[in-house]
Amino acid sequence: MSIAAMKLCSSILQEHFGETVRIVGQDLFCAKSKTLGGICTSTKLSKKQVAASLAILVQYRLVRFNPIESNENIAEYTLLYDRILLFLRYPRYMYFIQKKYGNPSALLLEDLLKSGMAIAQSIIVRAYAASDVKNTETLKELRDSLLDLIGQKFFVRCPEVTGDVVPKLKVEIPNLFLPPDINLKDVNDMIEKGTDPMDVVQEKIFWTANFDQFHQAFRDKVLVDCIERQIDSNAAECFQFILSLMYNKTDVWAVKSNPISLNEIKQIVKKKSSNAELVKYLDQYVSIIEKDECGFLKKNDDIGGEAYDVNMKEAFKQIAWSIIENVITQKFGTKAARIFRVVRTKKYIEQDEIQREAMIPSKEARLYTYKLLEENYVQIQTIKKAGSGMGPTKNFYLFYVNQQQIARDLIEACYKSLYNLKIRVNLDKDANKRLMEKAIRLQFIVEALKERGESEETIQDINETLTPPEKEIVENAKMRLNRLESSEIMVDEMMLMLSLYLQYYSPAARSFYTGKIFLDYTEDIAYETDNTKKHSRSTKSILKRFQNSTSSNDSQTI
Amino acid sequence: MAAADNSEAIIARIIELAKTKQSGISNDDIKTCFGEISAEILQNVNKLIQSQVLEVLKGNSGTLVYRYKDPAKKSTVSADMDNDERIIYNIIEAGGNTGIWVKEIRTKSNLMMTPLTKILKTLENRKLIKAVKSVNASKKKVYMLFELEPARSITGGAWYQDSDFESEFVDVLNQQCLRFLQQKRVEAKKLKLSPYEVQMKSLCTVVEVQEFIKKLGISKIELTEEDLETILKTIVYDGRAQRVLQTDGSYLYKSTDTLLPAEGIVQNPCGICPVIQHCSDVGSITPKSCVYMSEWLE
Repeated sequence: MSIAAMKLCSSILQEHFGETVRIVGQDLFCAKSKTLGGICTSTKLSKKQVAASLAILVQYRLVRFNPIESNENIAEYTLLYDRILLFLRYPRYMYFIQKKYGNPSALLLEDLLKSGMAIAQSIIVRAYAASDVKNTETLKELRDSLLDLIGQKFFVRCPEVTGDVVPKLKVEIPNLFLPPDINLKDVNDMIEKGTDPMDVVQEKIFWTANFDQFHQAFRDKVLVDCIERQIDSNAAECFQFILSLMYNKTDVWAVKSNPISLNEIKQIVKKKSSNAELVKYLDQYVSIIEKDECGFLKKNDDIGGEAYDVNMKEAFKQIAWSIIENVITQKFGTKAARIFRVVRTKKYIEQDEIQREAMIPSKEARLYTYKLLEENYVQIQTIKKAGSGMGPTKNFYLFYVNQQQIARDLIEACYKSLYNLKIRVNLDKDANKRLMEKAIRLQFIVEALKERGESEETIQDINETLTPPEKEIVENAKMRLNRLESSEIMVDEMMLMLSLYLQYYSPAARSFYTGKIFLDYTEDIAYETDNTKKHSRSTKSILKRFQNSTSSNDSQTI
Repeated sequence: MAAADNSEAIIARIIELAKTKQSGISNDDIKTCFGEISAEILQNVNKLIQSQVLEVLKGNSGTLVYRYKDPAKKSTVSADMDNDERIIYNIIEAGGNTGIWVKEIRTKSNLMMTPLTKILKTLENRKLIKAVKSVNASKKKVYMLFELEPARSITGGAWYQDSDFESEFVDVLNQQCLRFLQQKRVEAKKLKLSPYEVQMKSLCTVVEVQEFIKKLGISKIELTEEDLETILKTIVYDGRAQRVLQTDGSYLYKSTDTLLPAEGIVQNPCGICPVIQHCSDVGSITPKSCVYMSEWLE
């Protein structure tokens, strides 16, 4: 947690939920956890405002609440700041789903991300309203897509609410992805009568997006892409199959997979792949992946037969190195990157040795080494000669690299960079607000005119109300915004990979990719299935209250 | 006449004796050889020492030992040297082609700095020794015999010209070697072999690279395998090649890509910003008026 992270979180909250929520969020960020009263005192907001803000934050799963130690009737709230950062990834989630499952699924996801959590019927009704074609076919398609998304674990059931004053959230692991019963006729009725599904539906099951599943998909994509770059597309396909085998037997977020035998790989490839070359040379491909420097796959010698482990930990170490080295190359040039790799390979190395290994003139080598030292990419370790006195000439100065620290520094840099991008976006939007709005209004008018079948001339006339210089400004502004926003997505991608690396390497770091979806959200996880019938109660208290309070805040959301 | 014959015979015997013992002969050895040490023998030993056939050394137990000096190695100029000069000359000679540092000469010879520099200067003027600058420490001068070729560790080998590092030469070689590796990889991929063979074909030995560079004719001097191995290592350090260990302990080289394409933070100005530490909401360095960002957005 740092100032950069706080600023970034604040600006995200401001962008999505408005000023009040931002104040509350920032206040919570600065404290480990706080009670409602505490927040009121420090923010000088009214109790009502703070409660409404907290309700929004709870609905989007951005805060966790627990009874305080001394009094179980008072709740204290803790901000889950890394969840706020996930807002940056929303465009990627959407793009991913749209590409993989098509438009209806993307509409459903968009609605769910917008509302944080919602019941299936509401999602369908709103997605239907947003879709271009409106008929019973679309409705059916939407329902099937929704069930599919649940089946693929991209949507997950919200925890059940138990307890009275300070509610407890209860997760039943076996039921997390139990598909709901959706009656299309009922949904159709709701659309026709315009009733809110929340008022009609009896058994309310709330759904929310399962970010872990998305991150797993992103992670696999990165690994497969790496293999493709290193070897070729056949090897990449092969590795994709190996990953799918891994998930059959091993926890998705495990550091290392259980051994996968060559036979299993052969079977699955034979069954599912249409790539003749891959099938023919499968043995060779597996062995090449195993022998490659990247170390994603390792031979397992403990058990008989030929078996392999997927080593996620090693994979992400290599990926993090690659990111770090890319950054150094871009920032300081190839020579500096070479020096960095020399230090990295030699572990501990003296200055003279560096220039000899890197074949760089001593002056230049020293310049780059100290530049890297200044920016904390390499560190110095002093070793004193035994028995010698003071004086600098008596010591050895060894350079070394601390990967985890660099990764953390880079994540900080990402926070800062993202914050700067956000500032710039807001600035740009403000500067051209009037023109942009005008352009959008104009577009609507033109479209409406076209629908009505007005003549070309009138449309031309309307179009000309925006003068050519104005048009140019609008175009430029649009281009700039595009650039800023796509840059945001790319920085976020790098941040995801670095945090995955840190998660694998320092278990102490609090991570949100635990694989247990609600682990940091609730303490009460039930692995038994005996009380499935309590679902109806889940809507009784708190969630309904959140729903009501947020519906009044809807104008502020996304 | 008989005396002269006798003395010649003694000299021959002493030389014979000295030749058999590499570490030198002591008075005792002479005694066992001749039965006794007469004044005549000692005279002849002195003669030999003066004519530099033998040299006097201090033995382990503090006794004097005489060692035979190879006439081929024997310094050509000796007659007009005084004792101090000869000592210094010998010390420098012992240093061989790696040279010897002034400070070391001083400690070995036990001479003061002022007479030492004087002697070194005269020796240098007479072209008996020369001073060579070491590449490792530009200020450090080492002395060696005039006719010797300085060792690689002093001159730095192929990469140094007059003790200057030839970075352009290294860069060119680096590029060419990389090109060679990449070419090999592309060719291997074109051949439509089994994936394993493709991998094997894209591996190169150092000798192959050496031949390629020789054919190119970019190097005026002969480059050894060792030299090219250092160049290939720089490509590995550039992240453009992999070094694969073979069963016989040698290495093969293969060109590769980085694991990930360069993107993310480095694609926007903040990632490569030199003043990012000073960047904040207020003050002169702020994203609101950042020139780097404005340029990037143009």
